Amino acid sequence: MAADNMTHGINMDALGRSTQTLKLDDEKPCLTVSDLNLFYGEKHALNDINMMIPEKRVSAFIGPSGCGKSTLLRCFNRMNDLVDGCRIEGKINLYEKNIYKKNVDVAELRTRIGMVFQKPNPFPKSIYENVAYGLRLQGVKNRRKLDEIVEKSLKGAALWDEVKDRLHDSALGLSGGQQQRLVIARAIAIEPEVLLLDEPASALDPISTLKIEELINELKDKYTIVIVTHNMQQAARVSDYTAFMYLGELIEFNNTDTIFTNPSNKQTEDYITGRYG
Amino acid sequence: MEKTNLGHHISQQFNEELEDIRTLVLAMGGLVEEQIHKATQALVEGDIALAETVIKNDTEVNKAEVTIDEECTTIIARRQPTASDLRLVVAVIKTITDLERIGDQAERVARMGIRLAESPNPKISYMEIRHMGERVAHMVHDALDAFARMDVDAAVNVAKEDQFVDVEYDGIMRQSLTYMMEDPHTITQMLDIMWTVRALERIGDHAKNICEYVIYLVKGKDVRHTSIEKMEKEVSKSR
Repeated sequence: MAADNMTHGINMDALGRSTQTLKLDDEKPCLTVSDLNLFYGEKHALNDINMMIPEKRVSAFIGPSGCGKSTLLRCFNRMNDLVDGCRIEGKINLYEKNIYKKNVDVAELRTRIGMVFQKPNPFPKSIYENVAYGLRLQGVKNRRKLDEIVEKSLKGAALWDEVKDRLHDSALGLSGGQQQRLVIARAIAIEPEVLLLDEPASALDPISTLKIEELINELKDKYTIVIVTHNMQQAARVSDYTAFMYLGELIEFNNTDTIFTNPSNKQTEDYITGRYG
Repeated sequence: MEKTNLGHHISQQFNEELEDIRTLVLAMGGLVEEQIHKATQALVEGDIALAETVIKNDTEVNKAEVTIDEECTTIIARRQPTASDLRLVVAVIKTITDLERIGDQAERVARMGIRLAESPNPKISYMEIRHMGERVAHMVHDALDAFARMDVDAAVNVAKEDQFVDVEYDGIMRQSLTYMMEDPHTITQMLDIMWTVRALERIGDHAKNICEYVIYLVKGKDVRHTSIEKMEKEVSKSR
């Protein structure tokens, strides 16, 4: 009965596989942060951050409010440049190149590192124009090419089926969850290498949240994703690696399974088990 | 499978993870089943080499338990399963504990097989042991089948089967006692045989436990430490 390799129609080889755990050391670095310090005026907001964001993985930042996770995320595409009195020391490399070097074209950098915010911010234009916006800025005029990329991006953001027959309606008529996916479509239309997501689902209902999470899971084949979230369970669900930050310091950064089952740091353990504060 | 809807989460990955642990449990079950068959065969035929294979393969069973346990821990930590998903994970964790113990009992049977093969043959024939071994291996198979199909009626049937195993166990015990009283020279061998049937009887109990987890999984009712009648009553209730 059980002489061959199949029992209950199940391949016995399934048991022979090793549990593959992701290891940070085996990953290819995409963003490398070295000795990063950030000050808002007198306030020391980020303190000696050193970390490596692995390529084509989802890395989540968790931590209590004011711990610096959003600030760190915004450093990755130099959004903090716009903040008055903000001073940055140290460096962040996108692959080999330091993005804080003097001669870096910030606009070009932001085409390589896209960002999606907590509140969906579609432009008051049609769905189509929202997605095509970045391409038009880059000077793409060919109608067929635009059509193609708009469709591909909307499909990539798992929104195509819901909007394909009303592409020229206003984007503001979409639901919050759809708007957020539209913004993600807009971000991936220009084919960035990195996607930064700042609380992408915190303004959405649970079903839309799960859809966004599922989308993140699909997008990681192509993009390096960094997500900031207040929702620890969300970090647990979507990410490959999780960073815990506290008071401007990076406390622990490890693969998500380890962080949520056996964190090496007491502070991390206290936070994720709800013993914080 | 009409009662399962593992494949209906928005998160495709969660579907896969749940399906995955289910598959792993069945694979582990297949391995354990094979261990019982081989151990019984080794004992009955006095095949020392086969018995040694069984003893060696027990580490595979143990490894499977550890692997599945880890997967379940990860699912709990990352997905916070609820309702039927939670019951599945809990049922899986409990099932593999029983499977691992079944594996240990099979190993014990194999060890007894080696000892008996090396001693002068007792008068007892191994027919009863062969029968009992096949019976409990069948129970394990059917229990896992019930688990795979989430079939509570089948689960109850397997649980009922355990009574017959207990009867067989008593019979062999009594027979062995008679042999020992007749001829005290057989005591050593008879004790080994008693250990063996004890192990087989325990396998039946573990298979019954697995059936109880199936009922818990499907019906959400804990039917441990209750009578078969009560179990049947719970199963016949529609939700």
